[in-house]
Amino acid sequence: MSAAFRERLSRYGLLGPAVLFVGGVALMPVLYTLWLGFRRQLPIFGISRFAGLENYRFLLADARFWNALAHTAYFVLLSVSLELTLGLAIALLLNQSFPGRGLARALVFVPWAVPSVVAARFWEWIYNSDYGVLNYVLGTRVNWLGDPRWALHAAILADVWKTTPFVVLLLLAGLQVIPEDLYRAARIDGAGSWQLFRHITLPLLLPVILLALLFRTMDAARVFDLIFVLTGGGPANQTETLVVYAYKLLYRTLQFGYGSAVAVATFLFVLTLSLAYLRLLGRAWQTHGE
Amino acid sequence: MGLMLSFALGPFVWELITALKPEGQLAQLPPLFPARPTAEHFIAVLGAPGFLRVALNSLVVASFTVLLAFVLGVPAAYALAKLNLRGRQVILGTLLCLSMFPAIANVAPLYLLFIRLGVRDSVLAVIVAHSVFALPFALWTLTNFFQEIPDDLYRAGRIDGCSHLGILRHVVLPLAAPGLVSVGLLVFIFSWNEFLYAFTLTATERSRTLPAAIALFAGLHEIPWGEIAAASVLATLPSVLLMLLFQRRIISGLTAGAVKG
Amino acid sequence: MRQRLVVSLGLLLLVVVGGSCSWHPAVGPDEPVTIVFKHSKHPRYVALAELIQKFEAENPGIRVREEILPASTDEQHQFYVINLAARAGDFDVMDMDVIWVPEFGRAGWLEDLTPQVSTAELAPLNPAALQADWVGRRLFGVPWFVDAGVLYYRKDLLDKYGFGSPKTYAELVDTARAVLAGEHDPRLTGFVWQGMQYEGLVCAALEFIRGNGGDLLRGDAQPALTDPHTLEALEFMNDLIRTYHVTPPMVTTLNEEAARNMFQSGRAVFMRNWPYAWKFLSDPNSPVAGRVGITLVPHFLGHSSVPTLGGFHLGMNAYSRHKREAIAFVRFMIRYDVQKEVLLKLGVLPAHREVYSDAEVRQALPFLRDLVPSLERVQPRPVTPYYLMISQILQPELSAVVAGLRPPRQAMQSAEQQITHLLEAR
Repeated sequence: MSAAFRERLSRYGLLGPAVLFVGGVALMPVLYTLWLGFRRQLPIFGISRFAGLENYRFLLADARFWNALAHTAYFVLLSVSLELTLGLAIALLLNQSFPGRGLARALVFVPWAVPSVVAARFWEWIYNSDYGVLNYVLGTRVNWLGDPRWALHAAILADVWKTTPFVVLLLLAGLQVIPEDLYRAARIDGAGSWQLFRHITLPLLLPVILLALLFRTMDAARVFDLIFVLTGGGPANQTETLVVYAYKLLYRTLQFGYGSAVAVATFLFVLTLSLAYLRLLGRAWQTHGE
Repeated sequence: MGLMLSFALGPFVWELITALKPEGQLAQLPPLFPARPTAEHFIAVLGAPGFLRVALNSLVVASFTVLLAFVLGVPAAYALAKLNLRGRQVILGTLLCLSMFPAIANVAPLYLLFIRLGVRDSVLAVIVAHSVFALPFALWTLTNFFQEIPDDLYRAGRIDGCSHLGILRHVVLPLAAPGLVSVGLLVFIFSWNEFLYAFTLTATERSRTLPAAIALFAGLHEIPWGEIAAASVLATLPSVLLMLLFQRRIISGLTAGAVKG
Repeated sequence: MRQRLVVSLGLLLLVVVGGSCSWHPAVGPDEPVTIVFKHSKHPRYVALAELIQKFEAENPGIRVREEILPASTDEQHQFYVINLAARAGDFDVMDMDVIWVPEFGRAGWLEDLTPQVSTAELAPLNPAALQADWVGRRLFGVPWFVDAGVLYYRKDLLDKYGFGSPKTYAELVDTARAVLAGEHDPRLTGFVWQGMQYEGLVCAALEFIRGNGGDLLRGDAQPALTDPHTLEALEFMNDLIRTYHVTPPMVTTLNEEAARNMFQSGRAVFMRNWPYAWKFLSDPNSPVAGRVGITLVPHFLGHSSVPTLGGFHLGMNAYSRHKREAIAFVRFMIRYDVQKEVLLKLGVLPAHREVYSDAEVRQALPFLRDLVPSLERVQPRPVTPYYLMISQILQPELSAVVAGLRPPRQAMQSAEQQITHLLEAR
């Protein structure tokens, strides 16, 4: 065996198992969903036939789908931007030394540690207009989850609470990798905090920020548990997001074909958003390698 | 800082308070704090048949998910980060795409697959499902952290005649330790808290995990808020403990060592 | 050190894999057959286990293994859909919400019970509940416990102001307003019901609609949503909130439990809910213990009360491998003596009508007297395999009415359009 061949082997040996594993197990459901999206599959009506692009044509004209898309986009925009700003602020704070830092770091992560269905149930309990603690503390009687103007925002707040620690953790680890010497040198040169942040921290942190953005966006666009528990998509479908709609189609009305098409559409939506980040991330990685 | 902490902890503290309120007072506000806090909900939860088994299942599933994610992900991330492989973008991209599908669409065919393979109602099925969906995230993040490691170190190791595994062990892993710990923590918590697959792929206490068990607390119309609160507090504790234990690792400035070395 | 790590990991792996392989014992000719009874969690699960033991004692060749599902009907439905669409034969007897039976039956996922259960066994069961089990001439399920919407009221408050329990909605509004005016309690509301966007809203709305002589469907396939009677009823629901101020706007967040909590904390004069709430309300620790009455849901003048039917039914998995044993269990559960235990020990309302006139029962549970009229007048939601689809179309439209987002006529026109389109697609 030549050295080059062995090298090749070990390279793909390193990569192979992971790819095969994910490909093998994750590929099947995805292909199945794609396949179903091209079918008209309604077990109740006894229908199971190929339908080409019929589902997608219907989707383009489906007002409920576009509403769901709008709600999802709004949700993603607001929650991800809030999470990022908050997460960055917290990570920067936690990066500095102060007494009790270790404990503070652990405590800030508590929301992430709570199972999401449980967290959703708890926010439902908190938002209750009658005996919820939020109204009690604020002295108001706002109908948080039942008023179309507030419901989606209530969900966004709960999501921000739950997932900001994820962003904090990623950013904190990223901050750790930035060498202390850079800061020292810059400070010697007379740089102030803002300049340190803008010229050292931000550029070096950019890849991790983009990574956090990517994963948070992917997850926020597919939000399900939270909305389902808090509002069920209501009132009057005003908080229905894409995945909630897909779930109802698939599991409540047994419209397997169209439901799969909506799931695929959700994937395409997430893909489009991700591609934007990926380009930025690719560029950031390239400059980093130099 | 204080503001942020209270925001982060507020709902959780409220959860704790609810868990300590006697049954009759659960839906009453005031009082904010129970005059006579009770441990009845915690006792009910811990004493429930199968609770410890479920907790053990959660532990096994989460640990093995992390293990699998690392065993498969670390070498792969190393390869993607340091060895200029053709099709690197394609691989990363495809893996990412696969994990972009809404889980609810994946769960039915995956369940079908597991039924056919005869591993229905087993922790193995849940571990596999969790690993598959944790891997792309782990891979991406690890690749990113490995990229941070200066290429010179890598090249130096190669010149010294180290094999890839050797470099991994001696150079990459120590330097990327903060990233590794972060990823491990996040994957553990993801698996510990994951609900959809855990619920769909399990049928009895033999394989059920905590989130699925908590979902079983409610009756047809009745929702025992007290018990749910207690169970959630209990379910959250291990993750918090892990955080406490490992947060120092994330912090250690091991990069200083890299510059010296 | 490393060796030990590898060994212990290996051992752990063995434990995981070993514990996870599903064990299919080979069944010899003399070994008992095990059937799996899939059902949602029951609060008195010990009593249910005892019933099962009774069955096993009577049928020595059969063992019943219980597998629990979460109480969320969504999650149960999801489980059944995934498994039945995959033709899984891992469970034999299924516990189903009444509205799923025609759907699963029509999809071919349930075993046809028509030849297996005799007319004599079916005759004493609640006819409204049974009605929901047929698809055409084929029976796909049997009811084992039933539910009917009822009106709870604060006896003490009504007595204080000299009112009897209301028979019509007009009376309810008058009573509520009088009490609210007299009590001067800002936290007290008049009438709470389930106004969240979910199935419970359809149940509650149906009682208003049918109580005014309207309905959701005419016959089997024609939506009757824009009939004047239906629209009138929906206008009334809206008026309750916005004109009479008897129902709070936050009714849009109320489901069964939330409504119960409000009423139980003494913050409502009237509540529409299911009978399950009674045992919580009459618990000695309840703030309203001893001050609550139950009666029929009201109706509009010139019409009659029509409570909505709930409850669970038993069916057989069409892919079951032990059909003979499964049907034995199903027939056991609808027997008179077993149904009596369902009432006395499990605490739910049995489908067997004769149980209610049993002397022992009447003595043990006197409040049943108030529930029987509801059980006699109860009507199921439209019995059609497409009911869930119809409900999914209706829920947001009804929610829009309750939230004041759309006037009833517009909402129902939209719903009718969608339902017609759906039924045409057959």
